[in-house]
This record gives sequence, structure tokens and C-alpha cells, in this order.
Amino acid sequence: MNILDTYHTIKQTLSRNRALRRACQVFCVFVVVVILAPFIANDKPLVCKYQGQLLFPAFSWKQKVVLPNQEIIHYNIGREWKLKDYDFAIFAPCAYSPNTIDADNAPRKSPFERQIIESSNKQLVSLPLKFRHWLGTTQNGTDVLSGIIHGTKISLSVGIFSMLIAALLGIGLGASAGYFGNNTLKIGYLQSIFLIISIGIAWFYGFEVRDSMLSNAFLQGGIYLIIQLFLSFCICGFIIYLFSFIGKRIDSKLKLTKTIYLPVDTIVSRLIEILNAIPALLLIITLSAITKPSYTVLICIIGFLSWTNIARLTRTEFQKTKQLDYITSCKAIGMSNFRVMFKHILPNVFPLILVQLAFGMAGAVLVEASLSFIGVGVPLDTVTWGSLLNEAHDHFSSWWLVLFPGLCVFTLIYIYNKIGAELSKIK
Amino acid sequence: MSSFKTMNFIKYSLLLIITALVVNGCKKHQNNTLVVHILHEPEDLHPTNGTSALRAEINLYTQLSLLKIDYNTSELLPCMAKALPIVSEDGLNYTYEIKDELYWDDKTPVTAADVAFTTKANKCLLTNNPALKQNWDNVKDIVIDAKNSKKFTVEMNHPNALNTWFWTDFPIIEEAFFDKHKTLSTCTTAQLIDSTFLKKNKAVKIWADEFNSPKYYNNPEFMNGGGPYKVTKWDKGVSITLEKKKDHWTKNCEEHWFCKAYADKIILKLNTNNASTLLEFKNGLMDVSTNIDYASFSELETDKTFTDKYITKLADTYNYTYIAMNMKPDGKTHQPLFTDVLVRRAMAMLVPYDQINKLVYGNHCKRMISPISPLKKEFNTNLKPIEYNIQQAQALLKQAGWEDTDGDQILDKVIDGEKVKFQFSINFINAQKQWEDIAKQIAESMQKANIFVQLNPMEFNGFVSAAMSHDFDMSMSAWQSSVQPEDFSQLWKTTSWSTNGFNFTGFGNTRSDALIDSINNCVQESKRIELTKQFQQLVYQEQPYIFLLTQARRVVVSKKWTNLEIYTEYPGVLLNTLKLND
Amino acid sequence: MPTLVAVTIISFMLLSSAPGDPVNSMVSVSNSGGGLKSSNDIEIQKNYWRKQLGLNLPLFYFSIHKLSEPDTLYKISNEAQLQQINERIKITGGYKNYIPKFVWYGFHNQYHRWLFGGNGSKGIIRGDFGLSYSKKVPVMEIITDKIGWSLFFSLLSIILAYAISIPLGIKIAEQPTSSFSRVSQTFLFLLYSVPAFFMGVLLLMLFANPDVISIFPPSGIKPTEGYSDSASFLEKLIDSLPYIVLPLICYTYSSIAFITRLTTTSINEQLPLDYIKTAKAKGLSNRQLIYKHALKNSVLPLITVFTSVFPSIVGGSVIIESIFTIPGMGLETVRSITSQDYPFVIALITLSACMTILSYLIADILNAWIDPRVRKSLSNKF
Repeated sequence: MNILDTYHTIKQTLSRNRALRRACQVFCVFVVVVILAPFIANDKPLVCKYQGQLLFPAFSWKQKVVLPNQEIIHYNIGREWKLKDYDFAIFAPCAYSPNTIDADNAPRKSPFERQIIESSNKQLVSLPLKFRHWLGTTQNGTDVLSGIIHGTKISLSVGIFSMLIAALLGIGLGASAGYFGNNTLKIGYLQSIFLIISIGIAWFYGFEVRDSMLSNAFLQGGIYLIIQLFLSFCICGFIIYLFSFIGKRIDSKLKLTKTIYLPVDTIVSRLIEILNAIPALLLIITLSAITKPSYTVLICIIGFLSWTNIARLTRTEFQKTKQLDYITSCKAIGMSNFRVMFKHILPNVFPLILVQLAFGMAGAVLVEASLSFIGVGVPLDTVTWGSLLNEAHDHFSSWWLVLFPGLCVFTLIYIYNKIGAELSKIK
Repeated sequence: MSSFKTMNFIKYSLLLIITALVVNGCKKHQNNTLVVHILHEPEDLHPTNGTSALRAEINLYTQLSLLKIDYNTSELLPCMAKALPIVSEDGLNYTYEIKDELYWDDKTPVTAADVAFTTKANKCLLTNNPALKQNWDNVKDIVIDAKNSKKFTVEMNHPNALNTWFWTDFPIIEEAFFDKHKTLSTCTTAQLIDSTFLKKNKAVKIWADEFNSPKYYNNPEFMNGGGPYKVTKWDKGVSITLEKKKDHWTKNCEEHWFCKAYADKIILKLNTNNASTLLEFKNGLMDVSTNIDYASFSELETDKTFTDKYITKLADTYNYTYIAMNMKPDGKTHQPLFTDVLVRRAMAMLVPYDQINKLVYGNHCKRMISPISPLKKEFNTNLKPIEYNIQQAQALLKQAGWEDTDGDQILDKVIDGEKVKFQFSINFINAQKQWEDIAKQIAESMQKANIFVQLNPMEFNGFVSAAMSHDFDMSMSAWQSSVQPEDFSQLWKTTSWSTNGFNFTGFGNTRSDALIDSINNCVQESKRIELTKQFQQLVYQEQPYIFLLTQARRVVVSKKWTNLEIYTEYPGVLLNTLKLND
Repeated sequence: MPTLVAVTIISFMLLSSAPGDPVNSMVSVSNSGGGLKSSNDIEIQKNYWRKQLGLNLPLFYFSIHKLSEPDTLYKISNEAQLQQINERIKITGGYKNYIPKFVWYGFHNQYHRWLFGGNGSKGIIRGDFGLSYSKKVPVMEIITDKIGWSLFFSLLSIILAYAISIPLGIKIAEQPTSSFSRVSQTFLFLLYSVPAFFMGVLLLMLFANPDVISIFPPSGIKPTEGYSDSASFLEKLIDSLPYIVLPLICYTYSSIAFITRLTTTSINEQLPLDYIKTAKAKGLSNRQLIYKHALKNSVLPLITVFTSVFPSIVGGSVIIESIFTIPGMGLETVRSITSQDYPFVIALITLSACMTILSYLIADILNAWIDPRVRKSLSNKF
């Protein structure tokens, strides 16, 4: 059995299980929305003919275009695109970008209210249907529908990428804990001493030497911080590996035969225990108070905090599976540990992990939405479902600000939960 | 437990809930209790060390000061003093006499010794009120009259228009309550500001540790004052209750506003959320608010059923919003973007004032042009507001050397051989949504001129300390101002920049400093107004701030209460003067 | 225990390295107007508080730092000065910047003081979590002030959830094909996916709004007047009842959905087992089967869930508290973090770590009490 087989099983179950299929279809709709977002909701026209020139503003990366009559059009003029006299123009179905302020239709226009626009001769006229705010506007006059469409990207990517990190960590650590246990991996006596010393030294070279770089990274935040931290950890890992390697060589040179077992299982279990004891939401808010709020950081934090469930599951499954006959025979023919773990045990455990991942995604989406709802630890300039709901929290009379983003969060969480529940039924 | 039993359980508990609801529905809140909405809790109610604005409002009712402001005429009123002081010819000595009928809660009379203690407590270096000490710098000493224990002279260091006004801000506190061992009376005022003396003197340190201890900050039992009300309960995160003292000397006095006390109880109820505050008012659970957010206020104003029960009124204030620009950045963490006056002017042109006024303030505010409110007689009417104009701003930026040379939609300029991009972050306080809304609009507008703005919401303390240590690009906030003659030295003097004071931007030169000094030392009013106008001109030319809008007070008062008068001065509505409608 | 120590060390280190000068907020800074003639006044106060809070001590028992760094760097508190020194070290340090140096500071350090007391602090082992930076009162005082309502809601909601969902779950398991079961299962599954903040805002919009229905008060937790001084607990409860209903629904609905599902599945797992089949063969009815046999064996997961609520008692619920303006731990948590009130944050993390470990312990004990097999394995373990 391998990953390909798992794929086939999933495909089969999809064709058998209607509820699961439907949930997956809805999920795909969300993905499509994310990919096409710039073309579904954008205040630039998709195609237009202006002063005899054919333009594709929504698809263009440039910042301005010079027309034959020397007129310059900047692409970032926001809502002024709608006021131009076109020969013809096709706008996106929702003709607003999420941050475009429409002062005429503010504050908080309901979807059913009369919406207006200032025409070219400075008079206020009814908004044409193609420019309508279908789901109303916010306090600042930004379009709710556009916000929801562009907010999908954040919600989806928070769920998927944080769980990707969690899965990598969880499977890796859980598998080694379950497979090696406390008394499989042997290391030399000197080597173990070297290992302990190396932790302090690794800390020094990984963090202390780079502290000015790291504090700078904390100021900058975002992807830069992640890269710097990753580098630090890599340095730490390298130094620890180097020391253990040297220790091993010395051990074999001096022919020291005394060995001790490396308690992999205990270490990982303790790590899980510690992480579980720290309240996740508290830690997320604290960390984002320390560095500049950014979604990249948020995704990584959620990922680093939620691998424990997956690890625990993987660990128990590996413990069970490694005692089975076929694994023993695998080992007997001299397969490497790595190969046994990931080629022969993992595919069996994978469906179970998938269930856990689906529930984890639901949790991650909820965490992100809750944080943007209370407005802590997330950047303000990105419109998300949670931030739209946050506006509603201030103005209950604007029901459209509650209903639509709320329904979106609900739907996404629901389909993740549904996928998880249906998958767990299969077994 | 069987499911049958559970159903019964649920039924009974539902029944219980419904009865409780009915019972509670019948219970209206007690008569003659005024319920007032507050937006945030005061951090503390310490008589000398506290700093929050709400504390000042509570002090109006619970504390007395030598002089108070007459809110109608904007002039000084004698409160604890019998009359306005007799001023010596050189303008340095002010003689007061305390009214005979005044006594503290423990029935001891108020004497000049209490005033002397108040001064010493405020001036003592060990008291934790560093931000307020400057107000007392000009006070040299209090000399008590040898014959009359109620008469005293305040000796000042320099003549200044504020020499009498500053008393309105500081309550007189009881010596017997805050200094049981009379430690401070054994020292002279000069000794208390001498750090070598304080290092040797253990007794003062013991007193200061006690005086600075948490109980005086937030425990109602340790709150003491001369006003007609007393803080009796502080339910953290819920409400603060003020109760009328049983027999206070103001009982039979209705002469001035500070003598009046009609409501038996004033409850200051905390609600941080706009929407639920709105619901509370609609449900008739609150009587007074002066700080409902603008959007909710507009909503209430147009609600007929609501205006039947409540009076809704907008009142002018002297407060204004502004954006400070860092004129002297360090060049490392903050790029020298706003060192050029052309750029600062261009920035002022990129703020969509009318749009902000419409979207955030419901068109309730006016433009601010200089650091003086247009309501004041000192305002220089010759200054014209800078209007929103992207084209002109772009022209100015080009003139200052900012151009998008690399086509990444962000302006750039080579400064000292290094290419600097025109991107910066704007700091604002995260407690209120209005700042976020304004910042978003500014960011959108700046983006049209190819300037990238990051929003940086901050917690209050962090915001202030960042601004004071010049760790910002743009910093958006509001100043609260009053009828008192303006003292520009705090906000605009160069020393206030170099000592990390409230001159955030780095504005000023020797000329402006000299002007500020001459304004402060000028006692003659017409001359002071003339000089103030000159100073406004100076600030206007330099544009260290983007002056945004004046602030309006959103007053909502239940029609159950009469006697409502609305003032420009903080807090706008005097709660003790509201009288229950019979 | 080692877990607890690790958690405190991690949180302590994390928060000590956070930017910003903690004593800034200890010194009163004026909110409006105000001004400073000399920063000397402020420095005097700052140094006083630094001493008072033990911030002039080294952070931990030992430190590993660059050879070029002086050992007493921790004594410098001024951030600008520190930055200057660091920059100078970076330039002049040369090779010394890359050689580690181990320094032992002994027991006079911040962590030791925080844990065991000394220098004016009693230490957390005697229940003293230090002074809150922003409120200037002991952290423990704030916690005892605020934990009441969080505790009340967590306990009440979990009791309510169990009281409703176990019978409901059994009912669904009894007749898995009935329309009642199917409808309620779908409904509960939908309910489980509703985010709490969405629910809270909806409830407020619908049931506390004079424009729709106004049965419940929109905010707060007790009448504006407060309770009368002589009120007994029951009277207080009745006074507060209308205020409690909406938040309680918010607290409870998702656990009802979850626990019901858990009950149903764990009973269903028992049903195909042999001993049930035997009992069935004896002629027991479906109902008797579940109550007499299956329920007892499916109680284990329910206990685990019950104990997992413990940590949330300390943390409270940020979202529900902010929606209904309940003066509980959740709002206090957000306040403390945004105002950099780190002693409070560390106290919270420590307490909830304690609670987590406690909950494991209680779960183990309860499991042992119910399941003899677990009892045996536990006694092997110890």
C-alpha cells in the first residue's frame, strides 16, 4: 500500500459518499473564488475602449498608460475608473476592490437602499446596476461583497498552510516517537555528553550571535521574520548534528562501547505536554503583540501550536503498527528505518491523519476569524470575513455586515467539519 | 438521569427564567439615580497622581479646588476661596482666604495648612506625578498668615497669566487624611524638591511610599475629598458609584454650579461597545452620555421614538484631532521624509478632510487650521485651511524631489546617496474605531499619490511613549483643550522636544521659543492675543501637524432630567446640576 | 511538574524579551495636555519602580553571551543607551563576537525572585504574582476580581451542556433511524460549526434590540444599581438572571452539539460488541441495553472532555466577554497583552498550565475510578 493507493481509496469513497462529495465541491468553489478573485471583484474594468484605445486594466501589471493624446491614466485611481467616458467597457461582476472607498455610498448602505453615484456633470444619480453594492457597504463605504471575495483567500490559506506546517511537524515527530520509542535509538556515552553541551552552544550561535538581525526581523515582521527564525533554527540543528557526529567519531576512535538509549518518545511526549499546557489563543495574541501583525506569522504560529494532536495520533498508530508482522519482515530484509516509516507505515495511518487535518483546518479558520473579529493580532489593512463582522459589532442596525460574512465563516467551518466527519466514518 | 427527568428539569428551569424575567421587568431603577455612560474606566482616581481625563470629571463632583471655572462666562469663580485673590503689584504674590463654612468629612475645618500640604504633596520629587509637576514649577511657596489660619499667600516665581488658572485643575486635599503624621509640614517646600535632602530623609520616603501606594489609586475607602459627592463603590470593569454626602456644607447653597447636588446617586456605567451602548439607550437603561460614537449618534438623532424620550444635541468643544509628522527623525528606523516643509504641506493636501468628516463624523465637525480652536478669540482668522488636492500635492512632492523613478508605484528620492522610498507607518490609538477609519481613508488617498502608508494601531501608553521618544513617522491623535489661556511651551517649545516631552515633531527655533515666552509672561490680554496670532502664523507656515478637525460633543440626556445646560468646556454636561423631572 | 517549570521558563523568557520599557506605564503619563520640563523627574520615578519590580536583576540563573559583552549589561535600563552599547560591541568586538561565554549569576535573578520571592516579592509559590504594570495593583488582586464570572459561566455551561446532551445523545443512539434523531443530529452538526462571535452578535441583534425583540438586557452582567448589600447568593442570581441567559447560550451551544455527538458515537461503538449482543440475546430492550451496559462503558471520553474545560476557566472567553461586556478574565487578558502588562500575562499562562496538568490528573483519577483496567495500568505506572 502506498500514497497512490490512498489516492484511489479517496477517489472511490468520493464517488460513493454523496455528502463528502458535495462538501468537496463547495470547497472547490471557494478555491476557484480565491484564484479568480482579482477578476471577480476589481474596480478596474476588465476590458475597455477609451479614447480609441483598447485597454485591459484588470490584467495589467503596469502602473500607468499614456494615451495617443498624451493623457495619462494611472491605474491606481480607485473609484474614478467608473466616472470615465468609455466607448465600451466591461467591468468585473463586482466592480469594487476590497479597499476602495465609495464615499457616496457611505456610511453603511444596505443592499436594498438606493445607492448613488456622482455623474460626470456633478449630479448625484442612481447607481447603475453593474456598479451596485450587492451586499451593501461598510462604515467607510467599502464594498462588502468584494471584501468577502478577497477575504476568502486569507481564510482558506490560514487553514491550509497552517495545517501543512502542523502535518509536517506532527507526522515527523509523532512518527519518530512512535517508531523508535524509548529504547531503540542507541547513542554513545561521549556522544550524549556532546549533545547536551551542544544545546547551549547551538543556542549561542543560532540566537545570541544573530540577535541584532533577529530583533530587526521582529521589527519588520512578516515573511522576513519567518526566514530569519528558520535560519536560526537551521544553524542550531546543524551545530547539534555536528557535535553529535564528532562525539560519535570520538566514541568509535576510543572504542568506548558504553551506550545509552535516546528517549525519543519521552522527549516528544514532554514537548506535546508543554505545548498543550500553554493556552494557544493567549500565545498567539502575545506573539502578535511582540511583532508586527501579519498573516504569514499567524499561519506559522497556528501551525506550530496545533501539531500536537496530529503527533499524538501518529505516535499511537505507529506504536500499534510497528509490532505487526509485515513491518518486522521489512526490517528483517534490511530496509532502512526511514523507508519503513514513511513507505510502509505512514500510508496506513494517513487516512486518520487526514481526518485530524480537516478538523484542524476548521479550528484554524475559527481562530483567524475570531482574532480579526476582536481586531487583535491581525493587520488592519487586509479585509477579511472577521474584520467585516467586527464592523457589525459596532453597528447592529447593519444586518448585512453580520449576515453575509458570518455565513461565509460558518460555511467554511461546516464543510471542513463535514469532510472530517465523513472521512472518519470510512476507516 | 433519564431523559424524562431531564425534560422536567429543562421545563422547570425555563419557568424559573421566565418568572425571574417578569420580576425583573417590573423593577425599575431607583429614583433620583443618574446613570451615565462612560467609554473607558479611569486608570485610577488618585488625587494628585492620576492622569486620566475621566478622573478630572469625577473630581468636579468629589473634590473642591481653590478656584473653579464659571462655564457660562469662561471666567474664574472663587470656590474654596472667599474671593478672587489679591495680587501684589509685581504679580508674584496672591493672597487668598478660605471660606469659613468649609469642613472636611471628619468635620474638621478646612485651613490654609491643607493648601500648603497639597502644594507640598504635588511638588515633592518622590510623588509619582512627574507628568503634572510642571504645572507646579512656578509655585515657590505657600505662606500661611500668622493671625488667621484660613488666610495664606501663594508666592510665585514669575508673573504668568496662568498663575491663578492652574488652581482650577488641582483639588485641595486633606492633610489629616493623607499625612497622618504631618511629615510634610516639618519640611519646607524647597527641601522637598531637593534630591540630596530627600535621600537622607527617611520620613518623607515612608510618606511617599504610602501616598503612592495602590490603595489611594483605586480603593473607594481611601478616597477623600471636599466635594458634595463621594465615590462609594468601584466595581472594576462595570461601574463607579458616586453618592451624595448626607450633610455637606453645600446643602443650602445654590449659588454656583459646584454647590449643586440634585441626584442622590450618580452611577458611571462602563460600556466599551458602541452597538450595545446604543441598545442600552434605546432600552432606557442609561440617562446621560457625552461620548456615543458619531455614527450611532446620527442614527439616534433620526429615530423618532428615541427623541421622544431623549434630548440629543451636538456641542462644540475646544478639542481637535491632528497628525504629527516627525520633522527630526533619526534617519535609521525612520527615514527623513517630512523634513521638508513642501512635503509636509503636500501631506496636508492628501488628507480627504470632507470625506473624513462625512464618513467618520457624520459632517458634525469643522476644519481645524492652527493650534487654536476657531471658537476662541485668539484664533487668527487670516489663515486659510489647506484643502484636499491631489494634483497640487503631487506637484509639491515633485518640487521637493520625490518621483517614482523605478515604476513600482512608490515615490522615491536619493538622500545622502541612498535611495529612499516614500513609505511610512501612521500610529494611532487602537481603543476607538474612528482612528482606524480615518487612517484607512488617508492610506487610500495617499496611495493615489504613490505613497505607501502602513497602519499601526497602538495601545495608549505605547502610543504616547513612542511619540515622546520620537519613534514614529506620523502619529495621529487628539488634544483636549480648555478655556484657559493657552500655554504653548508644552507642545511647541524646543526644550519639550529635546527632553522627550510633548513636542513630538521637533518643531521650533529660537524665534518661536522667544515668542512662546513672551506670550506666557504677558499679563495684558489684548497684547497676548496679538502675540498668539503671530504664533499661529508661525505654526501654519511650518506645518508640523496636519490639523484635521475640531471635535463635537455628542450629548444625549434623558428627558426625565431637567436643568440641562451644555458647555463647550469639558465635560460638557455637569451631572450634579441635573434635576429629576417631577 | 517539569512541564510546569518549562512552561514558566518559556513564557518568562518570551515576555522579558518583548520590546518596550515596562516601567513606562508605571510612571503616570498625562492623557491630555500636560508636559514635562525635565525628563529628570521621570527618570527618578522609573528607577524607583525598576528597583521595586526587581528589573535591575539579571534575567536568569545563568546566561550564555558573547565574550565581548560585559557581564553587567542587564543593569542598563535605558533602551537608547543599550542600543548604542550593542552597536559599539558589534563594531569593536571582532572575533570576540563569535565566542560564547558562560556566566553564572546565582540566585539573585528575576526568575528566581518571581518564583521563590525575595526583594520585596513573595514569589508565586506563596501566591504572589507580582505587581501589574499598568494597574499598579497586585496581579492576584485583579485575578480574584475578575475570575468570578468566568468561573461561573464555564462551570454552569458545562453542567448545563452535560444535563442536556447526555440524555439527548442516548435518545439518538436508541433510535438511530427515527426522524427525531436524524433532524437533531443534522441540526446539532450545523450548530457545531457556528462561530461563537457570529452567534453572539446574532443573539444580541435579535433578542436585545428594541427594533426586533427586546427581552434581554444588551450588556453587563448585573443591574445598573448593583446588588443590594444584604442580597443572598440566590437573590443575586435572580437579579442577574436576564443578563446571564444570552451569554450562557453562547457559552453552551457548541459543547451541547459536541457532547451529544460524542455520547452517541461512543455508545454506538459499544453496541456491536459481544457483551451487548449477549445481553440482547437475554431479551433486554434497547433502552435497558444502553442504560445498564453500554453507557457505563462509553463514559471515558466524556470524562476527558469534562476535564478539558478546566484551563478555559482561567482564560475565560475573550469573544463572548467582549460581545456582552462581561467583566471576566478574557477581556482582562486582551487588555493585559495590548498594554504590555506582562506580569499578568505570565500569571495567566502559569495558571492555565497548572489547570491543564490538574485536568490530566483528574481525568486519570476519574478514569481509574470508573474503569478497573485503567486502574491497573495506573498502578503499574507509579
